Amino acid sequence: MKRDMHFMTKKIKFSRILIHLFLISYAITCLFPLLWMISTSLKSTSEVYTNKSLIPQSLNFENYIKAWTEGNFSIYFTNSVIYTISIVLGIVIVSTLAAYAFARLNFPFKNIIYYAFLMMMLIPIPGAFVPLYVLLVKLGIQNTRIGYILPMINSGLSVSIFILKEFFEQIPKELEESAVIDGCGKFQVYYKIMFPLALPAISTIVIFNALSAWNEYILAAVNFTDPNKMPVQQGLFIFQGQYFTRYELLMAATTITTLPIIMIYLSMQKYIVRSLTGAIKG
Amino acid sequence: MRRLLGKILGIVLVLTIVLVLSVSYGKETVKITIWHYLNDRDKLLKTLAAQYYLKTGVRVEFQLYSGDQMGAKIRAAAQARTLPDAWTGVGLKGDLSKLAQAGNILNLTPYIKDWVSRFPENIVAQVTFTKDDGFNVEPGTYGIPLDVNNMQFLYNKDLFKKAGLDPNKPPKTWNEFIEYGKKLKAAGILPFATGFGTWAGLTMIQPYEFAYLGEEKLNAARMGKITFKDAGYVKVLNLLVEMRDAGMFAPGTATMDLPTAEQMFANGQIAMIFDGSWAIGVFKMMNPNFKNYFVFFPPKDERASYQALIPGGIGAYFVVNKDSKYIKETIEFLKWLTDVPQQAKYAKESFNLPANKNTIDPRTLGPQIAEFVKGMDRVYSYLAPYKNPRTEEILIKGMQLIILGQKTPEDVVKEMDEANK
Amino acid sequence: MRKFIDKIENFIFVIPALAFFITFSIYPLFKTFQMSFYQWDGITKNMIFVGFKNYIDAFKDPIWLKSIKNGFILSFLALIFMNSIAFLLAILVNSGIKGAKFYRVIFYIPPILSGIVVGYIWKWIYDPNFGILNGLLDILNLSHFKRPWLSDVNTALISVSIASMWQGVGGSFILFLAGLQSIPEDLFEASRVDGATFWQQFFYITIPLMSRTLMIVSILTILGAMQLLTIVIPLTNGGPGFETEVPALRIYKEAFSSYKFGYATALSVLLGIMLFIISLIQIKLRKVD
Repeated sequence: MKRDMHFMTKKIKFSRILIHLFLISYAITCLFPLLWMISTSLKSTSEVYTNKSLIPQSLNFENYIKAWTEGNFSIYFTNSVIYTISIVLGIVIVSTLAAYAFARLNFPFKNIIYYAFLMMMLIPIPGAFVPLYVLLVKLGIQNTRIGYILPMINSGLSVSIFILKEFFEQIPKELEESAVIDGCGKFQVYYKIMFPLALPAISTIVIFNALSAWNEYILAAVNFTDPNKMPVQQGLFIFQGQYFTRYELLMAATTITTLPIIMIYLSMQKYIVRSLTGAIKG
Repeated sequence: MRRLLGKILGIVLVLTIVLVLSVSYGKETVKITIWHYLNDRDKLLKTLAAQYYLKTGVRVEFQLYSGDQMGAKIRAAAQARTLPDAWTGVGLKGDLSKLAQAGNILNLTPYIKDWVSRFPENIVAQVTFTKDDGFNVEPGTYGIPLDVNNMQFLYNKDLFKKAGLDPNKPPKTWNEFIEYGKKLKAAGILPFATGFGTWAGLTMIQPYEFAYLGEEKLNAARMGKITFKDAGYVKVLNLLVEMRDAGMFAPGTATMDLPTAEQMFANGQIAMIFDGSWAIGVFKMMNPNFKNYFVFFPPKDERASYQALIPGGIGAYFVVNKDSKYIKETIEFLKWLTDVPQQAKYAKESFNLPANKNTIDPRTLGPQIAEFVKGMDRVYSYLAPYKNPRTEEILIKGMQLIILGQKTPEDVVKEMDEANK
Repeated sequence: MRKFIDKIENFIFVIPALAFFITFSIYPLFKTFQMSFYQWDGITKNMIFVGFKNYIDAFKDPIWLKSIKNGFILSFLALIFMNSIAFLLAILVNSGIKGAKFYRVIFYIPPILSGIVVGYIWKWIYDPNFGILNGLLDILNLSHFKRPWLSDVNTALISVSIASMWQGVGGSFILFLAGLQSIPEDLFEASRVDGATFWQQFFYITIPLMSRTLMIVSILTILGAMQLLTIVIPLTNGGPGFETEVPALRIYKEAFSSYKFGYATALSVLLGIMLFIISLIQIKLRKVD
């Protein structure tokens, strides 16, 4: 019996090691491009093309200064932060409200409206920016920040509503019912119970939408003619010449623009934790 | 009551002054907006614009967008009629003709009659529409060229030597070209690559399209008036079969892009490449130590009966908005920009050759670029549009499969004819 | 009356979303639908009404059909392999293993990376002459397996699929992780007391309670695979031949290279309807369960 136990723990230990081996090797494939990006950002122009090694021959930290100034990032960075925060905030507020209604409340044309949102997520409109831009001009908000933020909120809504609705439906109804008995209104149920309980899902929504807002550049290019309103992605183009790409500067710039996204992810992923504790039946 | 009246009068007075001031202020400063995609020359263009402002008081604002952004922006702005005064044209006649038909770009002929002689004729022809050229556009010149280029073969002299070939005698005939390829291959050297994964593959066979079919038949076939089969297009694609059978294509050439091929060439990993005059600048950036290479004109194929013409010509060019408030001022600026002093400055930073022919001083050119300059006379000036633009895609993809040995030239020509019906 | 007021009240929750939808989506959607019945180059004023011709042409267009087929292959591979790996990673990271926090952060790096970096890295891995993969095969004495991965008709699509799956794992991983969090811990505890094994827990608790998440992830996976574009362009641009042609690339090329804007919109409506039906089936299937 005792030997058996010993064997068991050994087996568990062995499988633990295997699991770690698998996780670590997968982690290496994830980290490799990141290392390449940083290593390239420290090389000299010709070294990028002649030395494939991950260890640069010399460390050219000045690439970062060059990338920052040539890419005009001091202007673009503030813009992108403003855009990303407003877009994500807008999406979270509007989509949680709608998803809660689709999941729990009854109102006329509920299904039709829901499927209309779903449809919008599924049709890839080629050159959607053309009718959209015409619309912005008609509304008189082309080349304004709001004229960029509003359509960007709209473009993130459908996927977010779809994901959140399913997560809301998964939350046990008992919680709400007891809250209603305690005299909570619908809106209170929404923000006091549903919102905190759906925090893991909302965090993923934030992560997904922040990523797409931060990386967007086509609508920005179409909408803005004022260079002072452009987002960070605009700063990357200057290094991709018609005939020649300056990878060392491009990678320095990409490293700079990737950092905030990693930070958003770091700060949001910790909310992806169990929000349902206590005696609740599934 | 009187106090209120006084207030209103005061406000009206202030408003009038502001209005008058702003109108007169607006009159003084002409502001021209130009969109462009010349990323690496953005700073230079802005410097030149500042210089122009000091000289004339006309403000020119250059705005940079990436290549694919430009396409999107122009389409959207064309629909909403919010295009800038001028922009760098995207694509050549096919794209240009659409904007001209839609009335978005200006026929420049009346404005640049005295100016156009500064550019080589075959270059201007690439942005000029004529009657019955298949584009259905009011005849005239629609673009002002900024720089020019052309495409030829380049070879690595050291690798030629290593294979026992004379490094100063590049192949003159197609047979020699194939022979050289075989010898390089036998010496363990990858003989050839270019960007067959993208548009660059098409350009390599273009000289032979002209050589085998002649200008007339080639254009007739493209416009769908005769079939590619009848025009003898199979023979052109057969050249790829000959190269393939000689083992000339480096592995992966079928879907390679041009920068990858350029990187291999600059690192001495392939012996020959088909590339543009800009490649000289590219190689210098990629590997400054790589200098022992030279240029050769597409080798003459004795089986073909016409003269080979090479692709190239106009690099970047400007078009002018038909609805611009400042048509005259914009064109004045573009003339100044393409004048000798400005072109000389531009040529230093550009990978391409200046469009203004008076700018090129043959004594100051390096040997390789001088060879490319010689080629400018043999650049073709006119290529008809395909009846169905998809034919070009069928051709690119078909070439890839010929290189891989998955399709025969006959198959591809048949598919092209079906698409171009 | 009470009920009516209640419903109106409920409606208020969707009004903001609806306002966005009506302002910014209806017009482009309507325009797209309308354009699909026209022959139009996207620029000039020359629009010719052609009825259902664009739709009929699509069904006879071998390249479009090939791209749809490729889209299905990519979706299938992603559904099976990408999601299994993502699910496995999520369960392992969630199992209280040491270093879970570290793994959680690392596994979402690929989706964060810029497309330029991802394209460059995978091109380098697959490079026939100096690539990592062929180099690895040399080291392992498996040189006979070496090939130009991206320009070989037999391996091009699979190679593109692997690259895209590698980038997509992170997204599914996060969703699975969020899904796992909504399973109450006491369910596991109770079953442990009852003597359930890991696999019994997995099949009787995890899978059923994750059915919604599985459905979300598979719909988003198919959506992603069918609309794959950014990684295809640098790797193969649809080649060799049309071996890696995908629907989104087709729509893009028809709209912007071939000047068949009307046709391109018809293709996107068809793709949208197809995805809608597939999603609907998945939603209904889950409910039947």
